[in-house]
Amino acid sequence: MTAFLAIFYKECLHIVRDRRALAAALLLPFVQLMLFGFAIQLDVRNVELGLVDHDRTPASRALVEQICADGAIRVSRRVADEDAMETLLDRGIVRIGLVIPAGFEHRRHAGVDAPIQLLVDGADASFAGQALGHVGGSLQHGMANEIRQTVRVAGGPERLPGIHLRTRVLYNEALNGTWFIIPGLIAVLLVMLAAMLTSQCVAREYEEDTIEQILISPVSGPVLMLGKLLPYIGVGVAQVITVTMAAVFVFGVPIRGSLVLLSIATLLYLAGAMALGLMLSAVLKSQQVALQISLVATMLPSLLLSGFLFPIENMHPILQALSWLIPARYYIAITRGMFLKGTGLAVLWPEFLAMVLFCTVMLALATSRFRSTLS
Amino acid sequence: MMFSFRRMAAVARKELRHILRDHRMRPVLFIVPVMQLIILGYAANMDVDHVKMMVVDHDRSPVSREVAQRLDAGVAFDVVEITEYEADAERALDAGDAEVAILLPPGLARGLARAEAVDVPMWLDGTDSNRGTIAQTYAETILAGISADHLPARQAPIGRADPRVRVLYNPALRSRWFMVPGVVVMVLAVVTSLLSAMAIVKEREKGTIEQLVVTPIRPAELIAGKLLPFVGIGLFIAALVTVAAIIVFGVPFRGSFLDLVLMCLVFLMSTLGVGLLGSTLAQTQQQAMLAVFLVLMPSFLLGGVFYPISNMPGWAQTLANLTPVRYFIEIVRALFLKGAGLDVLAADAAALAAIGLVVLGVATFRFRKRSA
Amino acid sequence: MSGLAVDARGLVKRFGGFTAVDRVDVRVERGAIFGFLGANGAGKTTVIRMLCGLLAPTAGSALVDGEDVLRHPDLVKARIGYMAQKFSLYDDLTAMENIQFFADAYLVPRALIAERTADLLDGTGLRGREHAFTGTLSAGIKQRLALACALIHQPRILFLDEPTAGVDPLSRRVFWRRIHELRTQGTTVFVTTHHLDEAENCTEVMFMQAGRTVALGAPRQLRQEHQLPDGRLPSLEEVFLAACATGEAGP
Repeated sequence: MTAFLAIFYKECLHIVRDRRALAAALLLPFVQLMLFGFAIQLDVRNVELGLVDHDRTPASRALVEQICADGAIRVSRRVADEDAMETLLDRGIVRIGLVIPAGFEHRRHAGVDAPIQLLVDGADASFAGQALGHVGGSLQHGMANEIRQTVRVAGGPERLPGIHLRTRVLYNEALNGTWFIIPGLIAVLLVMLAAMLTSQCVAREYEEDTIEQILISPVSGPVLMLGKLLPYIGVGVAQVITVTMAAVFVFGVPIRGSLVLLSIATLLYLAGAMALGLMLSAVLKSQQVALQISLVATMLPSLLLSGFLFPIENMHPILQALSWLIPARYYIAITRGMFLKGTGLAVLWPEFLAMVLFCTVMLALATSRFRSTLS
Repeated sequence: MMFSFRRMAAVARKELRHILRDHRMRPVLFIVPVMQLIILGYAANMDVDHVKMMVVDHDRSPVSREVAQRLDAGVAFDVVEITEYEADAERALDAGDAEVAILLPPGLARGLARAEAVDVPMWLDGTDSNRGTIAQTYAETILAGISADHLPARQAPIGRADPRVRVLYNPALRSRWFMVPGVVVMVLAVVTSLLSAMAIVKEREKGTIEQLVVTPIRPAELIAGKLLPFVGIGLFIAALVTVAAIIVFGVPFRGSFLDLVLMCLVFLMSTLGVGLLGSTLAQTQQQAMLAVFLVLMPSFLLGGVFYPISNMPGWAQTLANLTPVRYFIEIVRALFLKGAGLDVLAADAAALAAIGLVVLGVATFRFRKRSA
Repeated sequence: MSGLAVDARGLVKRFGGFTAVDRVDVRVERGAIFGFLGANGAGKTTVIRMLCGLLAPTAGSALVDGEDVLRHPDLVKARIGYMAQKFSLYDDLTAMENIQFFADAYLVPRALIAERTADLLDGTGLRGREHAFTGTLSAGIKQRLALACALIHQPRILFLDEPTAGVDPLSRRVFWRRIHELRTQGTTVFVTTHHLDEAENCTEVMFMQAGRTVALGAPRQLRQEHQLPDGRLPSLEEVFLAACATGEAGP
């Protein structure tokens, strides 16, 4: 017991003395959350549209108004013809262009479909998809309103015949992009910092040659590991609390699920990530490399394969399978479920199970690594 | 005393040997690019399709069945289950088994036949707001089509504006074509910034820097010599990734390779500058790593590698405009997909060069102060 | 060649509120072996760094090999040899590569490199092992290699900062034999150490304590100055302790 306390205390001292690292560990997640939470917006805005209007009638002007109605899109350049428009797109001056052919109004009033051309810069595929969707949506709504107006004026029924879709949005009623990003962001930030912090601690001993002294002392593997791990978990908990408070109070993300369950999941996640860091630290006897590998091992997969940036369903089957190996995947599912949906164990038990498994396996691996170096 | 190329070359040669002989650096040099390439090439897909849908059919008519069929038919939706009970839909949405539930009311068929307005509720999982919004548009379009088909034919009071879309440079809007050029940028930035910072700090940590400073080697020669190997390594890796992008992922490269090399060199000014700057702020290697990493991560997320910059609020856009990544990713995408020439790239290249000079300048200044 | 090898007057170095070097004069004749002794933290390393152009003094002046260190540190660096406290060679480079590096750093004329390298390898006993990684060599051999690299450009003045730290006594003896050899060739050697027995090797020694000079002179002369009441000559260690006890002394 005393051995454990001694190790625990020593590790705490290490942490507290490395002021820069400690400050970074506590402030970083918070700062990054603020930065990305506000900066990353999934909703389309500030879109600059290039316009070629061969028709120049009230109808064509009305069309442009419809598209720009919600303020997300605005006309920034008007050019004379399609060639000029393509030049604009080539040079990246605008990313989307509208060409209204002559006769647009005429065709519409005749009750016939009037084609218009949308040119979009596909190099930025994510933007293109969003912008097109947005334009399409605006057009649809605009036209539906128009038709309703015309019908009403002509004395027709108040509501048009046909299917009217009544959408009720669940969990994220305002379709707030930030609410979607934040839980995922928390997962990504935490795992990276957790692994980075711990990956240094054993390797540091190796590099400073104090590992000999520790190995000689009659401390068992698990005790050594636990003693080293707990202080970092403490730091991790501090990180989680700051970040969650920011999420709730600054961004207004609701926590609809059980706080207790969320805390348990978070502890499992932290413990697992830190055990991973410890294991790497023990395996690679150099802080620098341990840090690098832990970055690579945790950051990339967490960012890319966990469902944070890209939906897992869209991925190549092999990568979907691989994503099962990434704890961030489970944690993100849990955080999104618990923050926004208010779901509990009934639904999330597979993810919880996976977290427990990950945590246990990592701790076991880290311990066995220590044991093998002790013998 | 004049700048001596011989001394600088000696430093560069020494550095290169250090890097190549650090057998633990080697896997990282190769693993990082390959991993990012594979993941971004195969995983990155932001298209909204195959949205999982539950159909609650209270009508149970040929029309309702047809609706379900047509919703399932395209790529937009995958109907996972057709049920009679709302509770099933609720459960599916909570569990994430479905993202959308559409409730076909009793009297759907009748209402359409009588040319009445029929309300069809849809429950939408708003967690992924982007996906949700687009799914909503899809549903509206498909249902509007069904309506039109089932209503007695009538003259439309006014014609619709019918958008024909032409997508330039990436007609199929393949996410991969968008993401993979980003890998070139990220890999180059990560490898060169991180490793250069660490290499410099390592020297200081080991204490061998004193032996260097006492020689006639000038700070400028030292800096240049330390950074030069990373230029070579950076270009080599960028070349590897580009070749992989073209051959393995089929991303077209329509510009000039020479332009790419040139632009990489300009970008390297910034990344190496960041590495050098990071090394002056840190006392240990992991501090250096953290410092560089802290600069890189935000610059990727904010720089337009994943999310369009135009979406961001004004202040974030200003921040983005200060990062070299933002310009370089534009340039690389333009080179790959648009076949842009230097005349088009000039503005971005100039910005990139300006930032690079500033960063390198500040970094060099700080480094000299420290070693003096 | 005339003039002093090293002529430093009134050197002061302050770090914030702490005075590491307090008005120290250093005058070294050409061809001397000047020993710089004192406990850790006495200021020896700070002085040597100031003389080598590594650190700018807060006050005072220094001429090394006739050049003003404050105004032309680059010129000074080209003319002196320096062996750092931990004789920092690059462990992951071979002996040959280390030599080549320093030869380039000092712009040794290419025509002369082969010859000097050969001499160097023979002198240090590394012939045949020149392609071994420096990290695999023993401390004694590394020390000899470091010294050789410091001499590759045949400097007239050699600064050695605790060169025998962590080296076995036999290698130490070999090392000092080499130093005497250098002296006969006309090189001035300036060495810091905290091994008092090594001080016997020097033509002149200076004791430092807490940033000040507490004793200065040839070893024999110092021992005679501090002759004990019973007529015995004290060891240098006793001289040093006595000098520290009385505080500042010297010319």
